[in-house]
Amino acid sequence: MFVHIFKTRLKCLLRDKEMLFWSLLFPVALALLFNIAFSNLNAHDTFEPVKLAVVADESYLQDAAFRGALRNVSTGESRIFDLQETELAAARTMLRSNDISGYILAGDVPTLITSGTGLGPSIAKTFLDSYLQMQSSVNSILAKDPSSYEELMDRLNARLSYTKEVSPGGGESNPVLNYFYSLIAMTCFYGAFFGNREVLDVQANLSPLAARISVSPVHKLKSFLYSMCASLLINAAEVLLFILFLAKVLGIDFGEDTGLVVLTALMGSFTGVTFGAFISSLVKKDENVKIGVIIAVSMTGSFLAGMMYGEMKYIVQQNVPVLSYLNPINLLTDAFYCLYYYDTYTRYAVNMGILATFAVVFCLGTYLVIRRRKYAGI
Amino acid sequence: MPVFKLCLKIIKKNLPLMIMYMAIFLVVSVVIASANKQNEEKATVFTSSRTAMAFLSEEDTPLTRGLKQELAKVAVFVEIENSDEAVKDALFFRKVFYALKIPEGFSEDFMSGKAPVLETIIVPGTIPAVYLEMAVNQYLNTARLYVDSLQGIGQAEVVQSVAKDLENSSVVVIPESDGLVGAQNFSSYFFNYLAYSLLSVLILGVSSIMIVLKDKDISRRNHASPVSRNSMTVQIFMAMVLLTLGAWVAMTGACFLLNIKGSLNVNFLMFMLNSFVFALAGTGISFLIASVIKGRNALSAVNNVVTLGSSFLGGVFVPQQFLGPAVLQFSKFLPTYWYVKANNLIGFLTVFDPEHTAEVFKSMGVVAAFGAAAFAASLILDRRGRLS
Repeated sequence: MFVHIFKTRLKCLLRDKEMLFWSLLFPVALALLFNIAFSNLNAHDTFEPVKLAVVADESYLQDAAFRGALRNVSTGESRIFDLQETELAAARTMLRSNDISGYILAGDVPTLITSGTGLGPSIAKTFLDSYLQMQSSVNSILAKDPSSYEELMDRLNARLSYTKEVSPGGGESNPVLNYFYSLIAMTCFYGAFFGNREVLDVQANLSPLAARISVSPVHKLKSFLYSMCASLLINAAEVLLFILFLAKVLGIDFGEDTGLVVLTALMGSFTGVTFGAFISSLVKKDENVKIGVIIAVSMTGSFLAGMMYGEMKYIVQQNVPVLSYLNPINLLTDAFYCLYYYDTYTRYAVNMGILATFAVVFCLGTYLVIRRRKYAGI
Repeated sequence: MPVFKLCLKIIKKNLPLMIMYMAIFLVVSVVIASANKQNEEKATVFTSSRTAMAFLSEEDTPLTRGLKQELAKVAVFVEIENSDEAVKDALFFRKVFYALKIPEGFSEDFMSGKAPVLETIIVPGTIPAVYLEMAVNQYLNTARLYVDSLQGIGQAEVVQSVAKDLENSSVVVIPESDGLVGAQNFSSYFFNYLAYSLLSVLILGVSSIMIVLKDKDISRRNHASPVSRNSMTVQIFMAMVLLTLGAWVAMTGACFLLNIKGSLNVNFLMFMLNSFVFALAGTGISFLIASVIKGRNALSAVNNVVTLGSSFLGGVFVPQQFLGPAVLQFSKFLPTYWYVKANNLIGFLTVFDPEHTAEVFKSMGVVAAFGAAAFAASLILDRRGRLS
C-alpha cells in the first residue's frame, strides 16, 4: 500500500507546476538576483590606498622630513596613499574630476583640500595631524629635557605597532552570506505549501479529492503519512538542489561541515513541511486564507531573519533575543551561519534543538487535529 | 462607453486587494526610505569620519581613559558584551569594524617601558579598520615618546601632555562646489522604491482587468457587440490610464504628506514628473504582460519575477554604484534603470538650467520609449491573437 500511495502522490505533486515554481524556481531566481545585486557590496568597505596628490611647491621641496614621511606611507605593499607629486593646477583638475580624494599643500601647518568628508580624506587628515602632533610632542619634551634630543630623534623613527590582529577561528565576516542563508530557510518554509496540500487532500470537508480518499478502505492516518512522505521527499530534494546550486553555481561558502549542512537542510525542510500541515489543520478557513497565513508567517520570519534587510537579524538578536529563538526561520538561518562562521558547535546545537522542538510541536498538533475525523455529511 | 464602465466595475471589485497591496508597499517604502535617509546636507565644513568600534577594556586607568577620549574623535563606540561570540556576531554584520581589547595590567606594563600588545579583532582589509588602527597607534606612540624620554613621568601627566599634542590639527578646506550638491534625501529613496511598488500594483491591476476580458466566452460575446475593436481598445486603455493615475496620485501624495517640508521644491516636481512617466510606461509594460500570461496563478509568479528582477537589477534595492559594471551594462535594457538613474540625478540637482537637466530628461525619454514599445508590442500581439 505504501508504495502505491507514495508513488501516486509523488506524481500528483510533481505535476503541480505552480507549487514547483514557488518552492524551487522562485528561490533560485531570488538567489540569482541577490548574487547579482550583492556581489559588489563588500567591495565598498575594502581598503584601497587613498588617492592623494601633493603640490610640489617650494615649501614641500624644502621640507625633507615631511616629504620623507609622506613618501614612506605611500610606498610598499601596505601603503596608505597612492601619492602623486604635481603642480597646483593639475591637482585642482584631478580633484574636480574625482581622480583623487584630495591634495595637500605643505607648509608650517599642512593643508588638505578635499571635495568632501569621507573615510579617504579622514585618513589623509589623520596622517597630517599625526605629523603635526609629533612635532608638538618633540617641542614639549625638549622644553622639559633638552638633553634628550638625539635619543628622541631615534625614538621618533622607531614607531611601534601596538596592536596585533587575532583572527578567531571560523569563516570570514561577510554580511552578504546571511541573505543566502535566510533564503534557504525561506525555501524550507515554502515547503509548508506541500504540508498544507497534504492536509487539504486528506480532510474530506476540504476538497473533493479528500472526500474520495476518505471512502477508500485505507487507514486515514496511514494514507496521510504515506503521502506526507512524498511531500517531504520532494521538498527535501528541492532544498538540497537549491543548496547545491548556491554552492556550486554561485559559489556561496557554507564552511567545512558539508554533512551538517545537509542535516540542517533536511531538518529545515522537515520543519517547513510539518509547519504547513500544522497551520492548515489549525486554521479553519478556506485554502486562500491558509496560504495567506503561511505566506504571512514565513515572510515575517524571513524578514526578521534578515532576508530583506541583512542587519535585521542582528537587531532582533540584540534587542529582543527571545524573538530570535521563537522564529524558526531565524533558527535555521542561524544554524547555517554557525556552521560557516563558528568553529564551535554549542550555538548550532541550541538552534537545532529548538528547531526539533518546533518540528515535534507541529507534528503533534497536526496529529491531534486531524485524527479521528468522521463526517456524517459533507 | 460600456467597455470603460465594465473596466471600472472590475477595478472596483479588485479595489480592496489593490488598496491592501498599496498600503503594504507604502509602509515598506516608508520604513526603508526612512532607514536609508542620511547625510541630508552636504558638509561644507570638514569633520573627520567616525566609524563604529568596540572598546573592550578590562581596566580603567588614566591611560585607557585618555585613549578612549582621543578615539572618540574618530570612532563611535558600540557597546557590546566582552565575549568572543558577541564580538564575532557584531563583526559579521559590520556593526563594528574594529574591536580593541585592553587586558588588565596594560597601563602598568606600558608605563614601565615594556611594549605590551593590544589584541584587535577586525574585519580584515576594510577602510574603517585601517583608519582606527592609525588612530590607536598614533596615541600610543605619542605617549611612548613621553614615557621613554622623560624618566619618572606619571600616567596622568603623560595623558595630559598627549592630549595637548593631539589637539594640533592640520587644515582641511572644501572648495565651493559647482551646482551639484549631494543630498540623497527621503524623497529620492521613496521614489526609487516606487519603481517596485508602483509597478507591482500596476501589473496586478491591469492584469486583473485583462484576465477577465480575455476569458474566451466574454471576449467572444464582446466582439459580437456593435462596438468597433479600436474603440474598445481605446476605452480599455483609458480605464488603465485612470487606474495608473489613481495609483500614482495615491503614492506620490503619500510621499508628499509624509515629508511636506522636504517636498516644497523644484526637485519634488521633477520627481513627480519622472515617476509619472514611469507610471505610464509601467501601464504599457503591464499591458504587455497581461496579453502574454494565461491565468491568475501565472500572474503572481510573473509579477514577482518581473518587479523583483527589474528592481534588483535597476538599482532600486541596491544603489547603482554598488552594482558591478557587467550588471549595469545589462540593466540598461530595463526601464527601471533609467528611472532610478533620473531619480538619483534629480536628488543632486540644485540648478535647473538645460545644461544640468538634460541628462534627466534624456533618461525620462528612454523610459517613455520603453513604455511606448511595450504598448505597441502588446497591440501587435493582440491583433495576432485575434487572427488565430
